[in-house]
Amino acid sequence: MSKFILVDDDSTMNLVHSTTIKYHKKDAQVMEFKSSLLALDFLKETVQEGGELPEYIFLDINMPEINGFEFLQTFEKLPKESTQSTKIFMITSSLDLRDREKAFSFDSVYGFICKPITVRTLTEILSTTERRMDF
Amino acid sequence: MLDQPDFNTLLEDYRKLQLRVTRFSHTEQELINTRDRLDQELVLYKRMSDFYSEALKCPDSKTLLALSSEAVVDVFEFETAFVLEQNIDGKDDAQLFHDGIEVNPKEAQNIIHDLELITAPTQGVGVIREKLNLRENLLALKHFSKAFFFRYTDVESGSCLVIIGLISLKNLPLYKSIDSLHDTIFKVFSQQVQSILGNIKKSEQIQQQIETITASELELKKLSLIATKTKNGVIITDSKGRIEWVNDSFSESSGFTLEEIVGKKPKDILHGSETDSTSKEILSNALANKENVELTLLNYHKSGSKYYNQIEITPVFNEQDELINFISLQKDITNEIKAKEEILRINSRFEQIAKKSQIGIWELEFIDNTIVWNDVLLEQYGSVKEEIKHDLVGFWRASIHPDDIDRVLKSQERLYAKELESVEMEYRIRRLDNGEWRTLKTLTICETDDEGNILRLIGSSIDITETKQAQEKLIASEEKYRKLIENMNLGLVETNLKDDLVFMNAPFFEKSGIRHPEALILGLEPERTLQDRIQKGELLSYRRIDEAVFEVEIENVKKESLFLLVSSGRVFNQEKELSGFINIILDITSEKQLTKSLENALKERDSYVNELDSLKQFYENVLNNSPAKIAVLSPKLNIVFINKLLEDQELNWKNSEGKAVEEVLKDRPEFLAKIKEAQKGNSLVQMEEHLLDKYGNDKFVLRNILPHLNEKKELEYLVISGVNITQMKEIQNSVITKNNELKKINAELDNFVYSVSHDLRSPLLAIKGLIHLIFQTTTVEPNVENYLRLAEDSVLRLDSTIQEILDYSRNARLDLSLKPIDLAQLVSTIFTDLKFSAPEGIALNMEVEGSPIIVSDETRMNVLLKNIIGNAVKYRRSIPDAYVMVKVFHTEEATMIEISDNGQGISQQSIEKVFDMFYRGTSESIGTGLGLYLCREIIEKFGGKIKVDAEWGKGSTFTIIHPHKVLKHE
Repeated sequence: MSKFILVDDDSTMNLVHSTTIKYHKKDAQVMEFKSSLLALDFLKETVQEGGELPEYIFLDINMPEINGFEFLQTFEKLPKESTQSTKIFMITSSLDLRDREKAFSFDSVYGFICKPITVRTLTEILSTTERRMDF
Repeated sequence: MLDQPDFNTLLEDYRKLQLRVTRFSHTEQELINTRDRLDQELVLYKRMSDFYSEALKCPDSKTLLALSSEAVVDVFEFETAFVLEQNIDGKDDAQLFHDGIEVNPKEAQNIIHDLELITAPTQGVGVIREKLNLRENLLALKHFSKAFFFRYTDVESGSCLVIIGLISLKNLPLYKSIDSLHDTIFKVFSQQVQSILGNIKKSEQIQQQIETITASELELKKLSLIATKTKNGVIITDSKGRIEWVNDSFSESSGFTLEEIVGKKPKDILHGSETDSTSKEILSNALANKENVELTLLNYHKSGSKYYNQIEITPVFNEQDELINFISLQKDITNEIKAKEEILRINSRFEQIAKKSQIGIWELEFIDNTIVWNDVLLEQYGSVKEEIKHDLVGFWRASIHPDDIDRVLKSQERLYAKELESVEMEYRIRRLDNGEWRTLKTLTICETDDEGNILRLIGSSIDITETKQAQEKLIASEEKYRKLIENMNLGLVETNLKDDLVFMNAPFFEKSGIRHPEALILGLEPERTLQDRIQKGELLSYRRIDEAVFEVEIENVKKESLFLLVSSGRVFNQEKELSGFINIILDITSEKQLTKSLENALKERDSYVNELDSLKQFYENVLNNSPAKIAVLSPKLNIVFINKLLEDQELNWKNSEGKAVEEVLKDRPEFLAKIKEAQKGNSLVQMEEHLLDKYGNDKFVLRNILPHLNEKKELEYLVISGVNITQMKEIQNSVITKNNELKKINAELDNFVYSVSHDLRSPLLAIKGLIHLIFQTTTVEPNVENYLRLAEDSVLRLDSTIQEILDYSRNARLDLSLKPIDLAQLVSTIFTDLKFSAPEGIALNMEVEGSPIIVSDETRMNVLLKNIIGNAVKYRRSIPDAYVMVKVFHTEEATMIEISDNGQGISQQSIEKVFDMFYRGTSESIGTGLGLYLCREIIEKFGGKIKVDAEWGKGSTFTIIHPHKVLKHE
């Protein structure tokens, strides 16, 4: 069973994405976070309690409170042994190449995807094991 | 009648008589035989006596032996005979005679061998009666049957005499009666020969002794001659040491004749006050002990001068071991001694030189392994002898730099292995006293004897640390000069004798555009070379200026003709042989032009010389009415002229003509300093002065101070001009301010567009996602599906409009950000993105010729290619082999990107407008009409071009011409 976490301040987008995931992968467990800070807190707690981090995090860039990049900075400070099996995908409406480059400066980022995620993109995401510039 | 005799008795008597007669005749026969024998004996004796008388006359043993061998045959009538005389031990000197003739040693060998076999070991006479040929081992005498021999060995003199007579088998019957007779006589004969031989031999010995004595007498004579004539002095004294005889050489070296000193003792006449007393003692002790003595002594010449004498005195004893003489050999070795002293003096001088020139010297004796270091060497290692003398080698090794030690020891080993006779090395050592690293240059020489055994090692050592540093500095400065030359406005070309280029400061030739710098190498015969090159068209003309200096006209790549001053020089190597040529080239084109215009000006001036006054008036008028404020100063900075404007507007200058500028401008030190700078530097000086006008407002003046030089480059006067730039300054300031404001606004606007686009897109993308969801998760009625599709299209169009507006805004406002980008990568990313919107029915291909890397702005390039490739995909035709082909290749000036397709193409009336703003080709177009307009804007910003070639219904080809070098415009 795969665990997904969606972080996006746009709840409609979260709904679209979680539905798409569940539609595609019936046993998927999907958590939605409208607040990036709450999402971080959840991840930190999970690590402290010795729980397992989700396999996939879909992360928006432009968010209030802390944006996607600040989220990544904090996330990468968590113990390596707990974060290493988590793949983060940037899900954004930005078309700026500079955003794309910046995203790939983080080790945990596996892909940069233009909203919305379609079933086709999702299939590719789930079958990939390497970091890729484009989907 | 007689009594009848009894017949029987008669017969008896007759018989008796008969017997008697027989007996008688027998006796008679015996008598005859005896007589015959005696006769024969007599003959033999007679013959023998003849032989004796002959033999006694023999002068030597050889003649006797030859005679004997003949006599054996003559006397005894043997068939043949041999006489052999030889030593018992060595048989080399054996003498063999055969029938009176000596047999040569080679043939004699076999015969002697046989004789030994036949006769030994008998002593005296022997007879061999059986056949000799039955004996084995005989080599030469096999065919003889019978032999009489005599063998006598004289133990005292060690000689052996063999006489043999031989009879062959064939003739044996003739010698039947020989036996008894010969036995005795042969013995007598042999003994006689032997005794005569003994006598002759003795007399020969005596003769020999006489000869020896004669010879030794001769020898003695020779010896005394040698003693007389030898260059060495000879003194012979009696047993008491008194002089008996001296030779001429002695007289010569000592000055004394024999008559003067005979009977005196040598020491009394030869020794003097400076003669070494120890040596004298050794001498007299040896003489007293009657021993051999050898020594060197200082002797005095008759005249009182001193000389060194090497003396060897030998005592001479007679047979009774009594001392009879002393013989003294003397050799004047003053020269040798002096030479030795000279060597010592040279040695010490050398030591002095070594010390003065700071050469360290050491010696290692192999015999006793002793090492000597001189003071200089100790100094080089910063040590004192006492500290290190117990282990000099260990100290030396410990001093050597770890990086050098292996190399040093290896060289030393090669020396020991006799691979080398000497080794030169450079290595670093650490001084003992201050731990400083020093570099030494050393030479080690191996001295060997004649057999090649090492006697000693001698080494020298010079501290070259400073030299080394200087050398490194030299190399560094050479590098510096090389760089300097390269950046200098002076051409340098060096070639070797084969005309290969050795050095050339390329920047000069690049700058001046000279294509073949080597054409300026003039070689050994410059004039000839130049003529050749002119014929070949490499040069235009030349003019000789000096012996090795030419003015050469050459055409550069821009077809301009350049005038070059070429000075041709030769390069020599260390052996002072010509190794190449070096030419120094000066570009005098501008000077040449200047000279020409100067000549013209001079000509003009000459024609106007009469009108000078009016000209002066004219200039003054011009200057007075100039909008600039002008002052003219003399070289000594006195004011020669000021124009009206200056006099009116600046109070300092009022009535200042003829005054010193220093006084006039004493409250304006900065201005004054600039004037002096121009005066000194002979070049234009500019300054901006900030003044306050009489109303207290800011006022800016730009001053030019121009030194005017005459033809001799001497300062003639300084022209100071001032222009009021206050207004200009104000405008400039406001421009800068406005520009800054604009930049700020631009940045804000960009931020604004970014946020707005993001905020606009987010809900749009949500709608897009939702529509997707509906299609994925539910089945809708066909007409609802149609509405949803339309809604999705609208969303897509709105989204692409937002994207294009964003891109346009970006391109217009953001600076170019140039870096190397990979076109192949960029295009394939775009291909991947496009596959989602047009997944099937079109082949996307790319071909790259040469490097895919260009220097450009990645964001803009992405927008540009995405638009054009996107269009090609969007407006494809539904045919089986639909394609888009992207080709990248390079020309000399630009990178070409050609995007061609077999899509819908563009109609003739549209093709000119496709790049216009908001132009849309068909009503079915989904776009905003911004796409291609943006593309042209972008490529023009790069300084490139975009072209289109298309046919309606067949396809289109867009060609992007991207320059290799994109210029950034502010």
